[in-house]
Amino acid sequence: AGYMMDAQIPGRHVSQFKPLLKEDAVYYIKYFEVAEARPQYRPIDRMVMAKFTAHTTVREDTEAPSTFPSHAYKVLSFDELRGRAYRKDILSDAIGIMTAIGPVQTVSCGGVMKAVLNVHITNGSETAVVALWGAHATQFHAENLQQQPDHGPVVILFVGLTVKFRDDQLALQGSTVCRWYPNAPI
Amino acid sequence: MPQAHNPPHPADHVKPSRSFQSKVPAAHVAHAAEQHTAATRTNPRACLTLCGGDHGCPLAGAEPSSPGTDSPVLCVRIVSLDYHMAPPLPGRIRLLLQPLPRSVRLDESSSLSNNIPQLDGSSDENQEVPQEDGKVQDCLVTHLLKVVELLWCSLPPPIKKRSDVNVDGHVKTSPDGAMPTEKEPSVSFMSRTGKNSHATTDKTGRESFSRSGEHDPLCDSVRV
Repeated sequence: AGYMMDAQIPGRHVSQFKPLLKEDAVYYIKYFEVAEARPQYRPIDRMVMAKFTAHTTVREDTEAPSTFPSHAYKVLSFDELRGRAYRKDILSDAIGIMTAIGPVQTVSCGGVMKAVLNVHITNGSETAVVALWGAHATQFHAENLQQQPDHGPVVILFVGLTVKFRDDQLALQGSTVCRWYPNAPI
Repeated sequence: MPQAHNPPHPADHVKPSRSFQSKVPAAHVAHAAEQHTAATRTNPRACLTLCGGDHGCPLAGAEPSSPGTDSPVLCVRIVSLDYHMAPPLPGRIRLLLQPLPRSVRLDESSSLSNNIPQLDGSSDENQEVPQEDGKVQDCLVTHLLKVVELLWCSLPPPIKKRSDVNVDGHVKTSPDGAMPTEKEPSVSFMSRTGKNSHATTDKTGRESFSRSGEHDPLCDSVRV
C-alpha cells in the first residue's frame, strides 16, 4: 500500500510546472498539499491526493536506479471488473490477451463526431471489449500489434478504464487518462 | 459534490474593537487596520486570510505563513501526465440562477466567487478568484509512483466500497468514456513500457508495479 499516488496541479500553476515535468522521469517533490481525492473517476483508489501549490518544489533525479518502478496499476480480474460496472467514482485497470482489433470508426456522440477503436481481449475463458476514444483511437498502433501474434500472444495492460456491459459482455471504456502497455514486463 | 454556501454578511468580517484594544497596543491596532484596508483595496484574498487568522493575535494573520522546513518529500516517477480542462463548478451555476437576497451586497469583500467551494474540497492559500462562468480551469493531472525512497509515512488504506453505491444496472453513461464532461486533452504524454515479454496476470488483484527495461517505441509518443 502507498506505492501509487494521484496528483493534481491547479490551472493557475500549470505554467509554473509544465516546463519542469515530463512523463517517465523521476522527481523529488516537496512542499505539496495533501488534498482530498477527487470525487469521481479516481485513477487510484486512495482517499487523498497530492496537490501542487505555489510553494511546491520539484527536482529531477537523473541518477535514479534502473530498478525504479515504471508502471502503476492494480490489475482486476474480469469478475472484479463486473463489480465496478457503471461506477463513476473510480477507474479500473484490466489485462488480457489481445484477440482482435477493430477499425477506427467515427460515431456521433451527443451530436459530436468522435473516433473510436475497439480492442478485444480475453482472459482465456471470456472476452471483453475495450473502446478507445478520440485521440487514443488514432494513437493505438494497431498495425504493429496485429503482426505480433504471429510471434506469440500479445498481452495488453489497460489502465484508466470505466466498466459497463453490452449484451452481457464486459465493455470497458477508455478515459481521457487511459494508457495501454503491450507485453509490459509486469 | 460540495455544496455552495451562502456568502457571509460583510458585518461578519468586522472584529470587535475591544479585542484589538485588549490584545495589542494602539499603534499596532492602527498598523493592522492600515494593512487590512490596503489589502481590501488591492487583493480580496488577503482580506479573507486576515479574517480567518487567529483572533487573539491579529498581526499573525496579516502575513501568510510559509511552508515548514520539515515538509515530507516524495521521490516518484511520473507514470502518466495529462493536461485537460476541468469541468465548471456546479455550485456556481446554481448561484447564478438564483436571485440574491436584498441583504446581500455585491462588493469585493463579499464576492460570491470567493465563497464557492473547490470541487475537491480543499483550499489553497494562494487561491485565486474562480473564473467567470463559461471559462474553465486548466488542470494538470499527474499519476505519480512512489517507492521505498519515500520519506513520508504511508498513505491511508484504499477506499472501501460504500454501502450507498448501489447501481441498479440500468444507468446509461456517456459512450465517450469516463469523463463525459471533460474535453479532449490538449497535451497527452504516453509513458514508456519496458522490454517486450510475455506477461502473466496477477489473479489476486494486488497492487503491483514493474521495473523499466528496454525502451519500446510502440508506446513512446508525444502529441502537442
